[in-house]
Amino acid sequence: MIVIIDYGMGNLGSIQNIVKKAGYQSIISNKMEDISNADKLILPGVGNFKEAMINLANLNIINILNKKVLEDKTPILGICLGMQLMTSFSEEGNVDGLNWIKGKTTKFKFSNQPEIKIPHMGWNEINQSKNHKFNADFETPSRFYFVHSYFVTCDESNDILHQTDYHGNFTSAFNKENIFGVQYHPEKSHVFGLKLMKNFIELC
Amino acid sequence: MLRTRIIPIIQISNRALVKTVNYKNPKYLGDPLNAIKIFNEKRVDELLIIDINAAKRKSKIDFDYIEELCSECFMPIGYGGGIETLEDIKRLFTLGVEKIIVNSLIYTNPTLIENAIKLYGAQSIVASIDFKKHWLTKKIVPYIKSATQKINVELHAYIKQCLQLGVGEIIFNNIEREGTFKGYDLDLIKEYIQGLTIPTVINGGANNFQNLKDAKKAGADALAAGSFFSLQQPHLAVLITYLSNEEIIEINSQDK
Repeated sequence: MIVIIDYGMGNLGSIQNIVKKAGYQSIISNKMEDISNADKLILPGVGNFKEAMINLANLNIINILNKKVLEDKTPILGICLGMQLMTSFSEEGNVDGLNWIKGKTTKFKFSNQPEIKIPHMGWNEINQSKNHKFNADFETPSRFYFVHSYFVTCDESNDILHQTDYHGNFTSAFNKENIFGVQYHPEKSHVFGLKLMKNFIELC
Repeated sequence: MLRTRIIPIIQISNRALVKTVNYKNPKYLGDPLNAIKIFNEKRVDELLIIDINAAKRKSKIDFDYIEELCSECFMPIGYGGGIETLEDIKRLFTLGVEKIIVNSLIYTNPTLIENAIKLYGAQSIVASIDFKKHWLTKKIVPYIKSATQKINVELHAYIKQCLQLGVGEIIFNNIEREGTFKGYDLDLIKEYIQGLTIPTVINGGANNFQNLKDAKKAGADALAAGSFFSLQQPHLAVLITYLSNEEIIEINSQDK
């Protein structure tokens, strides 16, 4: 069963919708039992990093997530804030993350160019940094919908899966073993997002 | 690089697709669900759904129907119409809406907007400003309540209020051009969007591809249109359409 983790942040309906469009059933849950039984996990999220970490802690699900992801190696996809939560640390609230991917989350800064708008919002293309079945049969170019003010920098360049140019390249997707994170919103990215969800569900 | 967003706007009223001219006299066009399916196939960048009747209806927002519409949408959705409480906003997000479009609320309940931004972030709250030139003073003034009630401030001051509230984006709707195919009024809009640090969307009058290209050049971050994407000139037959991929590439290849 695909479990979309509900920790009170974000648009879960849209994610369930695209999983369904891909041909699969999913449940939205924060119950330990459901997470424990999941074959695939999705960690969504829109909002504030610190708040999200507090919610995860209050739900008492960080331990079970650590076990599923780090020991059982259950495939997990973090979306937007969900991706950022997988890193070691975020500037947003100056708090530690789940630390599954070595790296940090920082805010876009274009101090010498006030005309550059933050958040980075809209459709942008991705460049594949490494071959992976996650990318199988992607249209070229593939574009995705982004809306974020913070972005991830990986410590290990080998973890970088996609990069995107917003006045300089940043990591728009990462992967390490069973752990995947995307900064964009596949659930709002038409056929490009649908392909990605199918790849994650069927190949990863 | 980031694409300039091209955004169809659909107006709905009691589950029908309608289209106004100058925000008046809604004309029946068909089934919103069909229009949305076509826009989805055409891979539109974003879609705005405005329920022009919700504020007047006793039951206000038609949540069940919005949910039905959203289930067909694999692109970002903005919704406006009849929003009154934080609970409404929360429910819309749960149904699959990304952006809440506020118009009259900017004037009638700014506190609600501030609270929503605190809870959901600036990027999810969009200010929609209807404006018109005053016939006597020639000042540009904002309107609320479906463009029927004038607010006695100049547009610059109203924009400033929106920025202070912290909205993530502003849509500028030219009442006199809306639904007329007269072209975006770019001279007028330039004065207001230049220097704004949040994304700007312009709407009202789009009539051809060149006009959209000019609008991008004028500095808009996103270009919205209703009639241009749902009616065919000159006889205004209903035709749900969007730019071709080549046209989109051309718009994006030119600098601001």
